[in-house]
Amino acid sequence: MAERISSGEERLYLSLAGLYENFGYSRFRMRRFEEYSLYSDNLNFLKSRDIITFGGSDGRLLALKPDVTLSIVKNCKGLKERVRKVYYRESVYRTDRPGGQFREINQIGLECVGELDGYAGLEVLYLAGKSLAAVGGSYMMDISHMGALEGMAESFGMRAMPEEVIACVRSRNLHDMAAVCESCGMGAEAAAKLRRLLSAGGGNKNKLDALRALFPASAKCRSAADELEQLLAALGEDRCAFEVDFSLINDPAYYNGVIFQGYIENFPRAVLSGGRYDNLVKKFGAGSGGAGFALYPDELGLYFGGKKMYDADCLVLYEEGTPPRDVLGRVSGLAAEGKTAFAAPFVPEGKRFKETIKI
Amino acid sequence: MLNVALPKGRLGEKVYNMLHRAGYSCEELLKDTRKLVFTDEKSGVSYFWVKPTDVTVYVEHGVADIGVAGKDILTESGADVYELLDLNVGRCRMCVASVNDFREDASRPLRVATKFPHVAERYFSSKNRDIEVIKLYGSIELAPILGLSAVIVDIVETGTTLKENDMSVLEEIFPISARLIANKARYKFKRDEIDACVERLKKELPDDKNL
Repeated sequence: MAERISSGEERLYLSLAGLYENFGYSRFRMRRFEEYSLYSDNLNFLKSRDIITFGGSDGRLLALKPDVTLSIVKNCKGLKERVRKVYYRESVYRTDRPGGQFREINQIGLECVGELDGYAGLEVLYLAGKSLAAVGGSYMMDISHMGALEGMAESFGMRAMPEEVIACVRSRNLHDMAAVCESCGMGAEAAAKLRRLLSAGGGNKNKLDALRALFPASAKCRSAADELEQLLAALGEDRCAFEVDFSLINDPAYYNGVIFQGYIENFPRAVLSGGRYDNLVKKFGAGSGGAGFALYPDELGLYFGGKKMYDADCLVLYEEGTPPRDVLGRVSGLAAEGKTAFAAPFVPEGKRFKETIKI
Repeated sequence: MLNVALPKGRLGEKVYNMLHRAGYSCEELLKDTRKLVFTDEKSGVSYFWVKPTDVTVYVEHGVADIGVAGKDILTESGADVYELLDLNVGRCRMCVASVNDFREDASRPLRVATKFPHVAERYFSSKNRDIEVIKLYGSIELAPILGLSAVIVDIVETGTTLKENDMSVLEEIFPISARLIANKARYKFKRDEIDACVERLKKELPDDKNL
């Protein structure tokens, strides 16, 4: 019965909460709002820059939180624990795209903040894979490393990769790469290398080897390839769902290491995203590293929902004047049989039922 | 089965002919019919004609695995999709244009009439130029002639319309052509099918670009 009533999102949350607690993560609850300055100081970390603000009674400018990670990292500042492991289920308020309508978005995720070692990074990646698997059906996780982007930019003699080039890489736009690189002063060789890296086929090993071969002088590229290789090997059987994809890029101001994004079949957008954000943690003085991810169960509403053919199993149609206790007895009797029932003295307009029971 | 969103009109028909030659034929597609979805089991493809500006929407929402959209529409929509191939058809340019005797008054915001407000805002903001955008849905060239705007941001193909109205191109923003786009999630799960389609289409491109 509870199985039938609880939504797919609820079942997913319960199974994920159990999974995270098994790995020592504890539930973190937070307020719905934060001081606006937390977000205005870290705009690039946010998925959307549109924020709902309001004035507090003491004159401070507050905001309905558009993000959870910032609040957790801020909360971790000055903690005595070496590593803090938390999971959450929270609503965030943001727009899908600039200028769009605000939406309340449910988010489930976890964060591991503090002095992270190699195991902590692997654990977060493993749990991200398990979280995606818990949604059900086929799934795939794209994985990349921000160090590779940094290394490539340095190889091209730049401090950071120009935005236009990043846009080209993100959209796997190989045909415009030469023109865009040229307009950014990067030359034809840089464009050719990026094209070859993005079009490298085969398995993960081939793609990592391509990164090493194309940027042999870059210690950052070599180290990124090595770290990805070690993590994938450590994931064992689970690594099959992970695919190295260098077109995956997050904001380098915050993300610095492994980043990933999860997809499930029959859903058009990424439903999970996360990665290593040491730069953000250091900025807040909350330790030396952070890693985490978020899953968006609201996005999966349609995926879980399916098509509901009936509003209830039975319409209990009673005549006016029927003693209420008789109606209640019939409805509770049907409920005891595991059927849903809608009692009314008339046929409700626009509703559909499997059967009608007249009393 | 590949679901393909094609833009209604000449461009869509041109691209369909390329797809047909590449082995993705669907005989019913070009027949005069009111059908909206055309499936050819043998070719493993399902086509639907949509308004050109809606192609990115169908692809971004995963209803279509791949689609064909002009670079103008792609840039304006900001759709989060993969752009896999320049189909090298429907070539034109996104330009800033105005009447021939136009003189810019740099002391005030530039009034720009356009169907592409995001493109205009991004372009002028990259030049640190303050603008006032006037969104129009057609006959953009009329705006500077009647004094509605100082300049326009619009697509220029041959330049004949501009010439006939005593107008000319002031700056070129970017070149435009039709692009094959793919939904990011669909690409993960249909990569072999989509990559095969890209490779076959490359052989049908009008010239040797992308080969």
